[in-house]
Amino acid sequence: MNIHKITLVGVLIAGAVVIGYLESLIPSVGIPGIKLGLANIVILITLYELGIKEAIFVNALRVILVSLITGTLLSYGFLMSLAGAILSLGVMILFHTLIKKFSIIGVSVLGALFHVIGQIIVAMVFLESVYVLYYLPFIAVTSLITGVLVGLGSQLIIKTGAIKKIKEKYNF
Amino acid sequence: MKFKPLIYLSLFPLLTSCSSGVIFEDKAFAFDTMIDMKLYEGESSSLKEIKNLANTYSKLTDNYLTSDVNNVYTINNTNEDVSVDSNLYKLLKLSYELKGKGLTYFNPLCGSLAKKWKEALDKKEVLSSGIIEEELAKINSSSLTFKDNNIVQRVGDAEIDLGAIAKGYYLDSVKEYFVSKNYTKYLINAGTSSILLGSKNTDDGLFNIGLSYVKNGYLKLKNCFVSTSSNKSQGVMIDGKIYSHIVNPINGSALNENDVAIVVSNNGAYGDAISTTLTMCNIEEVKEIESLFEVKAIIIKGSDIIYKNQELEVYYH
Amino acid sequence: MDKKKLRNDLILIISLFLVMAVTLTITLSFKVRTNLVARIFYENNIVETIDLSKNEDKDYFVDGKHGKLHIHTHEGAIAVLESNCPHQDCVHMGYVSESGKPIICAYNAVSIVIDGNNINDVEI
Repeated sequence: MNIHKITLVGVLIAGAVVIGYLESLIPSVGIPGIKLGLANIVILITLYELGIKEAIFVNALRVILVSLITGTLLSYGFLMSLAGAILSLGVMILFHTLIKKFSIIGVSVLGALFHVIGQIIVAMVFLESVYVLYYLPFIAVTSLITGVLVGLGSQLIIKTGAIKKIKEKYNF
Repeated sequence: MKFKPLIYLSLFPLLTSCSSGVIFEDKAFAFDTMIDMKLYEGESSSLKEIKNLANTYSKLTDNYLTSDVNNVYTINNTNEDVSVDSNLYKLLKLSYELKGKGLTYFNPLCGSLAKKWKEALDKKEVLSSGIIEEELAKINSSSLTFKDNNIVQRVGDAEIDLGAIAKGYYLDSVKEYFVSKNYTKYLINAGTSSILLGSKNTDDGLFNIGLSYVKNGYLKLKNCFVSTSSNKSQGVMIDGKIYSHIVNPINGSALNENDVAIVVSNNGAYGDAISTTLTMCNIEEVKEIESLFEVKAIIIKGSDIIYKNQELEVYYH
Repeated sequence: MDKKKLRNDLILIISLFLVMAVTLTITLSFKVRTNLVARIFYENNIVETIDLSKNEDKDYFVDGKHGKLHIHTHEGAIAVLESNCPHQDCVHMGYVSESGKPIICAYNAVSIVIDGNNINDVEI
């Protein structure tokens, strides 16, 4: 394994965790535990610049580390985060590799949407309430906006070519 | 493998950080009502402990039934020395001395007066002024003497009724128990009139306390006692006036100045006694008692909040 | 290629937004009639779950600690009609059709809780 690649992945995980932790400080509106999904900016960059396996790795570690830090490991909040992360990354991988109809912004929007859908499904099961769905339209609109912003942010960072340079320099 | 210890180390937090999401719920039937319990941590055996405590305190403060231990009923039926459980002794002493501490409308010796009112109201009748006079005379000529070794002696014929303070006192001991176990997340609701709040298992830990008589109104509270006295649930309407189970020990009336008094405090017994008293006070008296005992109150008349402590905020759905 | 993708993005975002906006307005405009459900508890166990919105006229006989309670539903409300408890507080409450305070028969350890999508943790 290329030590430089490992370092880069480590830095990306750290970034995702920091964003994830800061995001956990924002109080949830409506459905307890629901999060915006801002850490997706790092996941998206990892997916586009490094690949599927790396993106999955960074995403999984982000979810686990953030829940360890916030003391919510194996709790309902953790499951919400996990479901959201799995669904959103799954969808992003789908639209990035197979259905190449959208730019990074569109992929980000879809990722953000399914991040929220995953969280809502877990919330519905745990709270044993269908009424949680009533929050979906409002929260989905918010996730659309975050999705666009995250997409634009990812695009900006990728355009700087910093990661491309690192890949070329260290051959991975 | 170089990373063996790392793997074991990383498993450790997995085993120790399982926390939120757990809710233990149970119901106890004591103090002639239902105590709804929610504990968001610890183990369910803790709730069994609280239930036992409820049954114990309920038996001790019962003034209707005799029990295998000396209780309020025992004291009410003799003028001899009665040896009681230390918790009952402390509660009796506390209740008896509250009047002297500034809670002028609080008197645990109005049990007989309250019973007579209940009998009359059950027949949809107003208690006659003759009987009210008699009962007030009884109260004024009776007293409690507190002796060493948890011995109480009742002088006179007035009966003790701890209904206005017993649940709060019980909740104080529940809180002590939770503190000893380092629990901070719980909600213990004793008949909705006495509630012990820890914090909820959410980010802000606040509970939504709905105000039944204020449309869509609610409070957001945690880590406190909420005591409510109201004439609405057990009140009887005669000739357009609501007569309640809360009797004024000074003038013997069952008509209250205010319909609902909600008190937020950090002591259950005081909170309960004060909320009972505040149904009989005007706003000036309410403010005096608030500052004297460091509690916060909301007074409701009809469906209007006629007084609210400025540190309490009412939200609307 | 890029321009096409960007166009697709815009279509995606706008259509998602429209769908959400429409669903939002629909759900907000409907005064959601939440089904009121009454649950009869003996101690801490549910013995009966009743959908009050069915408006059934029905009798229920529930075993309490010291006797049977006669509970009745009528036009979306529920009441304890008969109980052998000394104070009869539960009977005095009459018919209840709103979620809020429970009907409690402490003597028999029976309670009736009406749950209408409770937003509050307690009602005082």
